Amino acid sequence: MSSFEKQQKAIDLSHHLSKVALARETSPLKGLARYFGRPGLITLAGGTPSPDYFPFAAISGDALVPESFAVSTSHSESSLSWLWKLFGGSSKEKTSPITIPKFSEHAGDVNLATALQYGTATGLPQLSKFINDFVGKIYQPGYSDWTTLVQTGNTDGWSRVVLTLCNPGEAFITEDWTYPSALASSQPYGIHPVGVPMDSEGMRSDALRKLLSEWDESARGCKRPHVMYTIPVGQNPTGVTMNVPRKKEIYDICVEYDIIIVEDDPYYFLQMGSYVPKFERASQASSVDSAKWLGSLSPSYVKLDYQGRVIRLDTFSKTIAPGARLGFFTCNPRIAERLERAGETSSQAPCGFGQSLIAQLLTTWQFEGYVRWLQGLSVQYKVRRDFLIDSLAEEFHLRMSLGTAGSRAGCIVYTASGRPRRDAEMTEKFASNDKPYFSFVPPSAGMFIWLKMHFENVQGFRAGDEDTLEMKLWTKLAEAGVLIGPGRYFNAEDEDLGTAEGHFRISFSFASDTELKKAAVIFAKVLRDFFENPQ
Amino acid sequence: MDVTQVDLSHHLSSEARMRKPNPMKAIWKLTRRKPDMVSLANGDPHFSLYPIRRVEFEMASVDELDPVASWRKGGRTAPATKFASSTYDPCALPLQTALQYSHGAGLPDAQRVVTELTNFYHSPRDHVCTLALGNSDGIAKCFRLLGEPGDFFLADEFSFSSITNAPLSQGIKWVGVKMDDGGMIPEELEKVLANWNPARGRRPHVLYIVPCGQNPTGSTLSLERRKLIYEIAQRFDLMIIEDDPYYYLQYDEPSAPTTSFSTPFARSLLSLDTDGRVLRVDSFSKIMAPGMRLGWITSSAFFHEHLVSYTDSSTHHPHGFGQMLITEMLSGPGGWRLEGFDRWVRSLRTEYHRRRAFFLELFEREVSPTGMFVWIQVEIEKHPRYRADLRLESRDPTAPRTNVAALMDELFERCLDNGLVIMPASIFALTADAKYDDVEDPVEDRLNYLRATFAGTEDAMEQGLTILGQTLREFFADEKQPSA
Repeated sequence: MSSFEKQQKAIDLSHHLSKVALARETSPLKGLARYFGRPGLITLAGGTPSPDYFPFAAISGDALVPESFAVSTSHSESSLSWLWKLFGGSSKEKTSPITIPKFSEHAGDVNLATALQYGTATGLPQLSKFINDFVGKIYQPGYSDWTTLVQTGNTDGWSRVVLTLCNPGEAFITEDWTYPSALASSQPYGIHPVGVPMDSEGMRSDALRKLLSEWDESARGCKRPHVMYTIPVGQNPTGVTMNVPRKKEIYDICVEYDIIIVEDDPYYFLQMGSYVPKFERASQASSVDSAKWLGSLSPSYVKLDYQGRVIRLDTFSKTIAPGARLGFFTCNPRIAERLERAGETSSQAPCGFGQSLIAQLLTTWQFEGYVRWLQGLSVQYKVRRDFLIDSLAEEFHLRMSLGTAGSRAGCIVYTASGRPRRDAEMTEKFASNDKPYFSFVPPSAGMFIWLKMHFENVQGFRAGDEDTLEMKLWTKLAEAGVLIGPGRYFNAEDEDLGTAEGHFRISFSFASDTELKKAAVIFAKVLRDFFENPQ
Repeated sequence: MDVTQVDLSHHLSSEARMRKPNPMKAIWKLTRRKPDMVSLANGDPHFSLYPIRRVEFEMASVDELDPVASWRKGGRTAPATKFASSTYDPCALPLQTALQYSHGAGLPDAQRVVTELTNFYHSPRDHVCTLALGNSDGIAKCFRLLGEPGDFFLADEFSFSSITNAPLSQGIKWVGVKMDDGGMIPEELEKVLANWNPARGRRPHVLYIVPCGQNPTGSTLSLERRKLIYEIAQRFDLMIIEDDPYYYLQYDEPSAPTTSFSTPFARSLLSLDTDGRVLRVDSFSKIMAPGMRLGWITSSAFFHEHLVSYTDSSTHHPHGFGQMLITEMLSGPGGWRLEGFDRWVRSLRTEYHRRRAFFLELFEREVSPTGMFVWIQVEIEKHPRYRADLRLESRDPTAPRTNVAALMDELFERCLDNGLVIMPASIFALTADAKYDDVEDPVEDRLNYLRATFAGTEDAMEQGLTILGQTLREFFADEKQPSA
């Protein structure tokens, strides 16, 4: 990593700003803010209520301790009892109180008089400080003048970014399967996605280069895209994670074609390592220390970014709670300033309660405590992923193979067919009358398993049936008591993709062990019936 | 009470029309249908993985006769009440629900409490509430819902610039409507619409209005004016965005020592809305705390659906902490309940009346009845360098007649040099379009006002007004300013 002295400042990327972003003026009231710093200045100017009238004396919370979740699985505890012990067992949890008073005893402490007042759009000082320290240590941006800015969650973050960079009618690059809310944000403005195929590492660099070098403006009806929206870790919905060599290739292409990379990374800390089948799973009796664990995480685009062309979206939704509605951008100062202007005339600042509780939590835990918490979470998600796949192995006949073609080249693929078998063994052998129902590549990060359905094996299948079969099967599953995500929602370009392909996205983030098991059982029954008789 | 079935869908912007509902949210709704449904559909973390188990709010007690006064005077030992949301104790909105992803309108329990609040004060016909992140957010969403690039929106001639700034980058322009001490003049509104020149563009179809404690003039519209304005909106087919953050801060006459607890609140435009053309935006910012970033929009079901759709692909529902607070506060065990909330706001109103009285004692002027601000008229024509012949001199029939704008800029700078920040009218003025608007009386000639707040401390008010008095004296004596 280059030393600080060698790092450059961000280059000038202001030509990427949309007309709307350029047209934003500083709100005249905020413009007066430059006068407010003068010592001894009396103000009768702003309409800020006095904190005396805030009807709050304090807020407090019972917070878990950073070590709440173990970082190693040990052979002696069955994964069931160990994972699920927290259910209904709140009295066994260790908590510590955090309190935020209205006025603080010591200068510099988090207090409600500040947190609940206007003006925290750039973040409560204590929260900003933690975030900046965190970003510097974990993501290690590759240019010198990076900055952070709080936002109210990544959907809002992307929504602000897309309008700051794109004009109506423009196209932006994305993976060919992606997060529907991101598409929903841009769609009403006529800002449309162009999908790039993926493989075992995520977005393919050769396909990206081809797309850009062969872009025909008149055929496409718009200029070549200058913005990329990507979810490189625990990609939503496919679950794929991109490593450094591919990120480097893509970054270099983006430098060449002058593209801004918007890195949406909510699952960064839910990196779990590869799935290993149950019977091969050795116990990791010794815990992995935090520094090693951090080092094992696939680095962010930000680390490779020497020009300041990456806008990173971080959120506390998956690491603290979705209801916190809190996250932050990491980007170059010019873009941060325009994003701040966009926020000023809309959501203004994230909620003072959330900012103060989370600031207090993080400053109590400190960097090391938060990292320990994150490590514990990643193990929780690993156990959940393993449990779901293990349950599928019990209900289906799962066969492992090495993918050879298309997006699965180089991946370990698990293929599921009906099981008349008595045991849960997975095997290389393929009985000739075992027609697969679905297949998947286990994710190494995130919350989802992306199932590719083999509808060509449905009784009476005809080419072109995939769409209707996907929805029919989805409905049958819903009626049987299991909800899953239909693949079509995640299709970037709303077109037919392959033949005989339907997809489903299943999440292991929420359900309990009993529920996951129950879902697998229902899934097996419904699929068996459906493939024999889809009506 | 039935809402007249008036079709207002033509008011939607292209953007709103093009927006499709977020399919992931549709799935989320389904998870609520069957009791034992297992959902593997959405990427929601399980609540056992949230690092917070309980949030407790220690708030002012509303058992006192005058809760705000007791709260202020009591300081650290003021009577307080506590309520909490947790994952294990009984409460109105359990933490695991409050901190989870939910629907764009807000959690049903939180939506229910603001609906009850709205019904209590406004008895609207058949409207639905959508939670928002404060009024700036609520209004910005309404602008996007209704505004097309090239549209003209109507507003008071002097308006809160942070709001009027918002849609400019969308390509929306403003047309100012003249005001007097009683706020927007209905006849002037009608004049603008009736005389609209189609060559200019589509006739305005949206009216943005702050009916109580208008910012910056402090005026409040009488019931008669509200009815006239609503009737004009019906005739000219306008949508009304009613921005009402100072609703509860309406005072009796300045000569009254205080505002009685029992003085009723004014009737909102929402309460008059039979057509479903009012989008009312409420906020907790001025009556509880601005950092709560929580408010709500009340509208017909039709616009509610579109607002939810937009919310679902932008900010999402508001934060769980705020929803948890208002639900516990208004319906939880140990909460304030509606009666307690009502006592709080009436008490707050009385308190602000007292502050305004204090301010006015220091400053003898006729002022407007409500809000947090005093709109001070400066008798600029008495300034030695005042001129009223600029139009003749420049021979431009649309130019301002006077040099009020330049003189007021000087006054503002003088105040700053003397250590006082006060808002000049120029910040709030919507400028006219010389080509189309009535330029007989351009707003530049009427900028001789300053906006001052009485929301600050007594010390600040005293010092500030002393400086103001001194500065005005120096200004009118046209004393040489010390060189910078």
